Amino acid sequence: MPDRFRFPIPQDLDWLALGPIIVVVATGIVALVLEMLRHKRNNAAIVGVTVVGLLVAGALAAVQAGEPAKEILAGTFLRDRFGSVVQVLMVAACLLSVLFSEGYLREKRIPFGESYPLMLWATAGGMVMATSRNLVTLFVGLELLSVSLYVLAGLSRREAKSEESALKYFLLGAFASAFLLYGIALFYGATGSLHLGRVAEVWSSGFEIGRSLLGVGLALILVGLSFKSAFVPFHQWTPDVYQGAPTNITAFMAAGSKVAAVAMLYRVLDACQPLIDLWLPPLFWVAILTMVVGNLAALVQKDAKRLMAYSSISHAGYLLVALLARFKAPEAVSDATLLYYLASYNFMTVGAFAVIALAARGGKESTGLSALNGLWQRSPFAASVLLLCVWSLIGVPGASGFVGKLLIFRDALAAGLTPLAIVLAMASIVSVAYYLSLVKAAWVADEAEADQPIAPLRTGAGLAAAICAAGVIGLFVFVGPVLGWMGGGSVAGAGSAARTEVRPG
Amino acid sequence: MDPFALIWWIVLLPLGGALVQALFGGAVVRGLGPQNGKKVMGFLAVLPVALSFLLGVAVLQAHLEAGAGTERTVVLAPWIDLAALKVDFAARVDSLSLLMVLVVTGVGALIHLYATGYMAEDRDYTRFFTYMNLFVVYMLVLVTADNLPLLFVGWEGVGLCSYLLIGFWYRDLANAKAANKAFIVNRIGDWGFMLGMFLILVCIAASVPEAQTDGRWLDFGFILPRAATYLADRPELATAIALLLFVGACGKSAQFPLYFWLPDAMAGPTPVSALIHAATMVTAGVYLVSRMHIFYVLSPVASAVVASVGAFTALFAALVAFGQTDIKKVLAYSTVSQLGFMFIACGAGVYWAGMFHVATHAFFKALLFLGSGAVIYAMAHNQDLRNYGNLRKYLPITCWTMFLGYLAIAGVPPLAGFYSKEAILGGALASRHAAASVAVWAGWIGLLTAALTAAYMTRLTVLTFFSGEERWRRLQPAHAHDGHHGHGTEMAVHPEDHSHSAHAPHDHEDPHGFFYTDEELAARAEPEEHHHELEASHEPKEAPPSMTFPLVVLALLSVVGGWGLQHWAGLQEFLQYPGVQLLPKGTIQEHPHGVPLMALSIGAAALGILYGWIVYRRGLPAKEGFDESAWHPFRRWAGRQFGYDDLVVHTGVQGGDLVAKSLWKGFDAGVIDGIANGLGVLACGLGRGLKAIQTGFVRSYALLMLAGAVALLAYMVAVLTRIGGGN
Amino acid sequence: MVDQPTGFGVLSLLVFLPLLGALLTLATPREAAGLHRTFAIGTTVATFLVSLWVLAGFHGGTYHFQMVEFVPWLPQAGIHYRLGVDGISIWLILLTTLLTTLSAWFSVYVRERTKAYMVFLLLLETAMLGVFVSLDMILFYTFFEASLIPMYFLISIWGGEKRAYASLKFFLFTFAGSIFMLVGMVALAKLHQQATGAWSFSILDIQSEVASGRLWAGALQTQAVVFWAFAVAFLVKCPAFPLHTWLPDAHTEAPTAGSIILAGVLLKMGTYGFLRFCLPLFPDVIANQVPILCALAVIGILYGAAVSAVQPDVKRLIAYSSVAHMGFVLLGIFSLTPTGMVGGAYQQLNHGISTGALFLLVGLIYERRHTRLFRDYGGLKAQMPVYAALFLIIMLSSVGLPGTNGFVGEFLSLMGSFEASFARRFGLNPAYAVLAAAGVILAAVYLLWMFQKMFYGPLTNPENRRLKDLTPWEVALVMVFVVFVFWGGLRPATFTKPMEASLHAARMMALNPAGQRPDWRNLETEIDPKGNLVRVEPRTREALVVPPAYGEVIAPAEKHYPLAGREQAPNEDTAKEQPRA
Repeated sequence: MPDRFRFPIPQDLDWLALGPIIVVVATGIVALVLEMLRHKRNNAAIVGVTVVGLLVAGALAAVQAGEPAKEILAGTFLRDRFGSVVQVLMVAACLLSVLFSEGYLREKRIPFGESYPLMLWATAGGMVMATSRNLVTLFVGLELLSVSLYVLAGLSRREAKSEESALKYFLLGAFASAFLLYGIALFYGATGSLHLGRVAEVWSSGFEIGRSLLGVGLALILVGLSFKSAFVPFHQWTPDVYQGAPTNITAFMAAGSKVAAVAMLYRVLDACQPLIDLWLPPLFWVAILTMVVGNLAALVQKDAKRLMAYSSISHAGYLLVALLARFKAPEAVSDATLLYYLASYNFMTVGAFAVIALAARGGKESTGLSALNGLWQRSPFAASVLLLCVWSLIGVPGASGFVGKLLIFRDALAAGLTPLAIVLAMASIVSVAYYLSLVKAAWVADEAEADQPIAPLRTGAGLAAAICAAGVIGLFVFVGPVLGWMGGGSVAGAGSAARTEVRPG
Repeated sequence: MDPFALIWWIVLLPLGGALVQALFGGAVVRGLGPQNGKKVMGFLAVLPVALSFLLGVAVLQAHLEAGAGTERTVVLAPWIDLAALKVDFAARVDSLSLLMVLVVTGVGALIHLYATGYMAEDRDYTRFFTYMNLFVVYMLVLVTADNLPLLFVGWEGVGLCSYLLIGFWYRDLANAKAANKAFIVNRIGDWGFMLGMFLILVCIAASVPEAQTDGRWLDFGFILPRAATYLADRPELATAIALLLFVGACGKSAQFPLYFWLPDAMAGPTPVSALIHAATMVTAGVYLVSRMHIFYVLSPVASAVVASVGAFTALFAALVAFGQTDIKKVLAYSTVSQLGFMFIACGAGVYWAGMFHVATHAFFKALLFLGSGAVIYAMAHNQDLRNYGNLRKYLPITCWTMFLGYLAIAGVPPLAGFYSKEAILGGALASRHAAASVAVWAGWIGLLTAALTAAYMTRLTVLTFFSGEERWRRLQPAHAHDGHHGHGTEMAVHPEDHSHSAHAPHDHEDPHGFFYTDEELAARAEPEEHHHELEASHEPKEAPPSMTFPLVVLALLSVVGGWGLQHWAGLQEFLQYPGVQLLPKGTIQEHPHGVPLMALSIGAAALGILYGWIVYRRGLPAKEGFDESAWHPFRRWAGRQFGYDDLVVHTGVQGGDLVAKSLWKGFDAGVIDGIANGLGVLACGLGRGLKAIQTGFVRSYALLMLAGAVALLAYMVAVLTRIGGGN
Repeated sequence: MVDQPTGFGVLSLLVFLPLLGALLTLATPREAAGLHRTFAIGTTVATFLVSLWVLAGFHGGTYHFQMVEFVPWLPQAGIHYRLGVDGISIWLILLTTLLTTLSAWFSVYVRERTKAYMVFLLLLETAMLGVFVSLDMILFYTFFEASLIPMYFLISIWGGEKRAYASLKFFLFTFAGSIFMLVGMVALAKLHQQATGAWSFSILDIQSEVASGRLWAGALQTQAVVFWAFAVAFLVKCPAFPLHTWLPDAHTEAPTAGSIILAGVLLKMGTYGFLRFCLPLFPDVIANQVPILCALAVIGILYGAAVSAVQPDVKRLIAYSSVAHMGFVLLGIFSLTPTGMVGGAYQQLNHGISTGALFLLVGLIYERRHTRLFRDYGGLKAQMPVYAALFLIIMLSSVGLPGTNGFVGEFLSLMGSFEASFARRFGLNPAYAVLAAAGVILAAVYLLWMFQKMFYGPLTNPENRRLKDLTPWEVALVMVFVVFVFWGGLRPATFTKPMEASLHAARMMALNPAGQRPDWRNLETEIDPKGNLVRVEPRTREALVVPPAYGEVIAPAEKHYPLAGREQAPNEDTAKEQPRA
């Protein structure tokens, strides 16, 4: 039919479903334009636009969380609860980092407006990674996220370590992407489709070639994603990059890009459910390695940002445990645990970085632990927020981090992954030692012992910190409703209700 | 009102006295000035004890009217109140408890009176009487308690007061050490006591049908009647109980393995030595054994142990007494020895004789101690026999009252000691008790000890009051010590010496007013208490009437007490428990008063006295002088308690210290913390190792990633080839 | 069965009042030290009054939880906000509020960072109270762990020289101990889910399933593992013998108020945990673990006593003495006899009072002289007679002198363990009790030594010559403790009566066979004054306060263990109380 040619746009286009991503990207463009128009380095307008745009996008994503799952654009895009929730988390991560960026960049004397559009696009990339089961779409999203981050990491041009971190991130990222891409190719070879939905059929059809291709392909994809989500032994870039990059970017990297990577991993593993016997054992060991290495290495860090980098590695390990439990016992475990942990991880990480960013002053930034000395004198509020976030990171009850760990324990036991639960428990014991060193610097030591006075807490940073604190506590207190929203009201034990049962179009 | 309810007033009056002393004493003394204030407080201290004595007499009246064999329980209030165990503040009124009540309050009142004079110069006058009254309270609780836990309250309470009073002159560290020693050794006894109590509980409580009881498992009225029936088939349990209780008795009554705290306890003021360490507290063990004697009746083994321990202690202490030159030490060892006599009686099954000796011993031993106190008082707190001599010229009253006490303890008829010792030896030698043979041996040893007692008491008396020469005349100043010395060396604060020393730490400001300013300090500084050493020109003076009066009364008791008690029905009645007929009536009435025994014991006494008189009538023999190297080796050895004390204390203290230190440094810090910290170090070590891998070079990172990827692929391929295509 | 939400009640008020006070204090300016103190003292006093209110409304005649509050929290996981008190917790609540009040009162001596200090103190109180009223395991764990943070700061900011090491050690030991308890809790909830199909972290639900025997039916082999997951956490907290080394450091370095609360309350969380979780929830394995736990207790008693006798530092000495005293508590509880358990539970309070008071007294002198070493003291009696007298009284209650509170607890604990061990129950033997009793001797040794070192002998150190005696309000502060020392010693019934029913219940939950166990959910059973488990007519939780008409006996109270070999005693009563095979 000629109509077809007249209407190249697929019928099943759903603007609302695409809304959040579109808004974020558009806001990025607007912000970029503003950046060119603005007079003498005043980013107020840009920040304003960015915040508004993100709020809108977040709202759009949030309202769709309840909608029935559907695939559009010929199966290249998927709108379901998991995706929408992850989108909200991405937006939140970006928003929080943006909030304290401005003050930080000023103190650091790098008030470049272009950082905001880049962060927005990175966010968009992350959102795409969460909302598709089409390998190419996923890959595009991943690259969008990564490339923006490469640039952002090198934002502080005068600093060698910033440049270095950008370069490292770029080289290794490219290396990882190559694996990923190769894996995608093999999947295509096996299934004859870029859509993950076909994996199950091919596997169950039992052709040896297909199976082998799938297996090897999966391995390569896992390598790529493990790099992004910083699993051991693909983690080594993390400390260097986190340390070198400007702190606000580090915060976004730690929160946002981890959320996105885990989300994409979720999509892939979800599709590869039938192959579980194939990938569970290696990932089981990867999880253990990640938890152990992350925590042990963190013990001996003297630099706040490196310390947080290793802590992010160990949390990646915890997240992997949640993932494995999710797919090992799909009938008993819902997405809620994973999403809840991501959310709480978002808040506590960004919150901690927002406070650590205060160490930057007058163009200099020393990120050693001692840089935080006497924080309680300069800004009790910031110190309290840091305390709260660390509290939550350790997993002491009273903050969201505890519930996250508790849920993971529950799922692990329910899925029969008790060893992982034990390792997780031991890991958290080790983590106490280094997390407390952060608190000690901020709370026990006197300002006199700091090498340079800490920057005053600006509105933006204060706001970000306040939101994070509120989030950490709120997630704990209102855990019931939150889990209900994330898990689709599914109680544990009937978790499968939350899973997407959509066939490829 | 019911006269028996008074029993609680007997206990509570001294308690009130103690509280008054503690709360208002200081204020009154400060208010009325040292002289009058001390008079008032002294009066208030004696009053309650005296009243208790009168009340005791009243209760005794009522008791005798009701019949000496009867017994009664007066409950004040519930104490421990569980579904499984109930214990009341319950007092028991029977002949045994009343006998002890009268001894405690009577002798106690006299000693209080004496102390008002003796302690008149002491700055801690009211603190002293607080402790003294408190002691009387606890002692009364001990003897009137109607159940074991309450008895234990008194049991430990008297130990506490003895601890406090031995350490009364705390500025001298030696006194504090002696106090600790006393308390700890007593605690060892308490340990046995407690276990005995538990054993009684499990033996009886567990076996009694629920219906038969209201949970008052530890009341005497519950235990004693049932003991025979429930332990009949279990002699080994009866023995265990009896021996555990005896451990307690040994601790309190200073029997052999645990006697060694008593001599050191003489560090306390002399009235304390008289009241606690001679007349009352140390007899608690004898009281306990008599109270619980059914267990000993059921267990010949235990009785034999008791008898032999008693006999050995009596002999041992008597021998040690020969090596002592401190007048109070001599009396202390004679106390230990006399307590041995009492346990011989208990072991031989003539418990009433034991209690009899408790009473008479209370009279004459208190008398002797108070007398020695008067001497010490007159001799400027010098306690060394070797400096005395011919004091009868200066201290007639003290001399002759004490002389009567001496005759009493030596067992000269018809004084108190004669009757009781007679009863004991007679009972032992004629023992029809299960452990007869042992008891008989104990009796013979007792006889020997009686002779020794007479001898060393003669030595003491003669060296002190007779033997012409006044030996302190050849004294050069400054030696010989006594508890009071604490006052001399005590750190009275002299205004001049904080000018240099005490300023240092107080340069900083003092926001809370923690410290005295110089002025306050100067105002606080008290003059050193006037206290002169004994020297050649010293003129001994007789003590004031407040001190001599008790001497006279006690002397009187020492003379007639024995005869009186001997003919008091109650004493022999107190062993009759309803349901349990232990010894058929009458058996305790007659003991072989026959001529041979009397002859023997009188002969023994005479022998001892004669020996003493011959050796010491000419004053201090050369080879007992100040130069101890000249002493006869036996005497020197006896002076050091044959090395027993050193052995025990050294092994105990040094050994314990060593063990504890090694546990602390070795195990606590070494092993446990070693492991804990070791884990930490290990973790950090691993962390550093990982840091080393973190080279910072992209190539190495990529390499590791590659390795990971290869491993992953290899695994996949391996698995795939294994499972192959098939499902 | 499903619970109806009750909304928040007096217990919530009790728990969160200090938190409120903390927030108020936060709102005050940093310089206004006086204001902070006023707020803190005011709040603690108010909390104490509320706790008295709770006590007034409490009824001792039942083993069921009273004043229960239930607010749905996380239905997906069966985690809810559930509070309540019973005889085991009621006095610990009072102890907490009292000691916190006194600590706050004492804390006027804190000079720097008063605001943070008071805030942490109040947070700590909330956490401690929460522990004692939580009926949901997760809620319990929440408060249990939340108490670490404020304590960590109290030690690491206001502590002594080695505070960094001490505070980290404290945090690590307790956290390491309790994280596995969390896993154990999840395991229990999962078992409940297997048994009934629904997750639940409520100890009422879980114990109910345990009582009926359903919960462990499928998982007997894991029971011991889960038991130890809990037990280790509590042993660390107690602290029991091999896991005690955090205590001396923490005690020694902590500021006075910290030491008081640490000794007075935090340690009780461990023993309370044993009573609340280990006894009711693991009936099939508990008997086999008793010898181990009793052995640890006995070793703790002797070891703690021995080591404390050679400490050069008065606070360290008291810290080690705590190890010994808590040994008596454990021993009493795990004698699993009515007397012993009452003794153990009561000894908790006594230790709180006497050791708390000791730390307070040491704090008073430390504020003056800023040293804790014996060699800096000696002969203080001449200088500070009142202080010496008060110290003596408290010291004696710690020695366990009859007539003071310390005696009753020790006495009953020892008696209980003697009964159990002499009857050869749980594979115990008399050696346990005999050795434990020897601890009483050692207690005298080290405490008298301490007293001698500080107060006797000549006043040699010139720096002590200027010391004034206690100020009137300091005396008042100590007198509060003294009152309880004698009250507890002469009238223990006041404290033991309300505990008894709950302790009998806990014991039966641990020892009776399935079906004869008390059930926290089943209001138709009750413990009668004789200690028997009896049936009563159905009633509501509100109606618990009125003593019901007792029906037929389900399980009789085994008040005393019959002697080994006495089982054939020819009387029906003991015959009925025979031990089960």
